[in-house]
Amino acid sequence: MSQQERTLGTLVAAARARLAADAKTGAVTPEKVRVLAQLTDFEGIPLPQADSPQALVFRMPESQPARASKTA
Amino acid sequence: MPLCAHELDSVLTAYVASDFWAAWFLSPGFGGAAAGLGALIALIGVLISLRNQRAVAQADRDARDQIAAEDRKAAVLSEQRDDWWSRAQWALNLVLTGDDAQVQGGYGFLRVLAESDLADVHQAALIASITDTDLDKYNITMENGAVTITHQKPGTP
Repeated sequence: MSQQERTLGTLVAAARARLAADAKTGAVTPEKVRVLAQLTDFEGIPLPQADSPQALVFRMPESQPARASKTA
Repeated sequence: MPLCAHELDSVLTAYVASDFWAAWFLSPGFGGAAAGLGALIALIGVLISLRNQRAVAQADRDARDQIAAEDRKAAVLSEQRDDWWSRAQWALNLVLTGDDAQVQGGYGFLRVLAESDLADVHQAALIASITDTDLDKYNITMENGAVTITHQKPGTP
């Protein structure tokens, strides 16, 4: 299995799948996963890699979907 | 006023002894009437029996139809669950490819499959578990409305 660079979209998709699965099992979804699942506007944004100190930061407006931005 | 045994005996003797009734009891007409009555009683018995048999047969048919309908329903559900599992395997394989676009698509399908009524608790738990493959690789922290994602250092929990 090759370990390609992951994008934020994949992490959001994983978070949404986790949210749906937890709803079925009745498990409590961690807050960080719920926040990720609400994120929009993430197309093509790469996630920080293992050997990189880079961080991806985004703000969660109160009533609007979150928008991602990348910072070093 | 009720008759005593002696009086009843006298009345019956007089009754039977009367010429008309004695002649009628011994006549072919009485034999025919008795045979007709017997046949009528037998016919009523047969009709009641037929009606009961018909009711039992109908109940049997209804029961068989109900069982057949339940069997069909179970077969359809089983087929749908098999289809669900085939799709889940396909989606899981996408997630395991490592290719980002395919992994993203795989998670999308898994979300839909998890939301399906066909998914049971164990299957949903399996889907939840596979998402950890990617979710656990990243530190996600929230502070003052800002969410920060960094890659998990190798070896850290």
